[in-house]
Amino acid sequence: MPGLDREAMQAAMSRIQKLSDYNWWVLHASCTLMEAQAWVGPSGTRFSDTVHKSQQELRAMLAKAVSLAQDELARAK
Amino acid sequence: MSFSGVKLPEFDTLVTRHTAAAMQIEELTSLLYGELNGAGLDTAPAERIRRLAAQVGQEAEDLRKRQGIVREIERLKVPLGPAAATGTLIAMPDSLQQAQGQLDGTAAARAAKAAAAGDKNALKQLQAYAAKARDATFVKAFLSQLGAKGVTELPATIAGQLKAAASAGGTGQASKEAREAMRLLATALAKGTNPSDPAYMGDAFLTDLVKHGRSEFKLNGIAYYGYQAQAMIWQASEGNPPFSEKFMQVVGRDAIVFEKEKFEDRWKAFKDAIGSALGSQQVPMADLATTLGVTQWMIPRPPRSAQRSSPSTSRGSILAQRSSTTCSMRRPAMRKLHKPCSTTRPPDGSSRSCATC
Repeated sequence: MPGLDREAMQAAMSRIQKLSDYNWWVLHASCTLMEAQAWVGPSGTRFSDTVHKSQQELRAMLAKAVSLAQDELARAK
Repeated sequence: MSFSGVKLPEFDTLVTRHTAAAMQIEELTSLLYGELNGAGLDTAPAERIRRLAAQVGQEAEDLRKRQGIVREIERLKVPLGPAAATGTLIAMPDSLQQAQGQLDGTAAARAAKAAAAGDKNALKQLQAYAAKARDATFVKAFLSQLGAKGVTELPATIAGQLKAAASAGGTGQASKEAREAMRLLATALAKGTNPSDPAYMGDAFLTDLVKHGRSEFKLNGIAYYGYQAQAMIWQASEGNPPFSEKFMQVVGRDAIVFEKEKFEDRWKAFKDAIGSALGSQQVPMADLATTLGVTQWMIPRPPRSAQRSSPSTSRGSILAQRSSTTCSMRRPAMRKLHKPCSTTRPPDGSSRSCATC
């Protein structure tokens, strides 16, 4: 599939970066509240582990999307 | 056991924020997919985030359910665990299902106690829990809060209320509530006294049932033995779940012994020359519903019309079965205890029994 021209790719890259910035902290409150022991016990501990991993994974995917867009922009002429 | 529960207001904030996060990630998924796809890029990151959105959504839903239980604990003021050092910690079982069962069982026991104390609206509340009676956690919470004494007194109070309602002109709704309550009690008792059921309350509970079965209670000035009240629960049982072998051995057998102890003298009188000459009958110990004449409004499966014509002497015994024409030991709850004899009661209603009974 042919890529966008440089200008369009720049705009797309910028929107993807904004999406990443806007959602970077989306699970932060849940993580912090679990660290503050909002819910304790075996299930609470499992949830806390999961939500921290989810945050890591979400950020990794956001970073990956930005990096894909940056690479494409670098190639675009 | 370590503490299991939630801290307020942090938990409430967690529920709100996680719910909002789920929605936001859901929205992110479609926007990001659109951008990556539009630019001809690999959409794998968006697809992975879609799975995360579903997971966070599910977590948020579970959190809201748990929050619902927390609200109920607060509203009903029923602690579901040891009191925490500060008021901001609310103890609750780790498993959501157990927490719900324990909450419902505790609330139902509270309604049962209120009903036993004469609150006329409480039976209606108790009725709402009828469908929960098969949940082991519910049964354990219900029976442990109610205790063997409460289990014994509740049917008596219900019988008393029905008697009053009948005198006042009608049992209507009260009868429906009473039957549901009795069915609930029967299911809970059968499960809670069965050692192979997860709801088993332990041997001590059976011993307590015996103790209260032999105790004398009073209802509106009428004295009765605990077994006369407990017998109404056995009769309300539909046989599923059945009463266990253990229950039969401990409680059932003792009820038979107790009936003999209390009524032996009367039975002897029935057999002696004067008693026979006077045509006296061997009257078994009657359950309380029979004594008060409210059986038909209270026991889920009322006796068949054919049996209504037979005298109460053979129908209301604490050990009698529903069919009045066979030996009382043929009653389903008693069947395992004692091989039914072949003695049949004459259809004319006289209450000749087999030697064992």
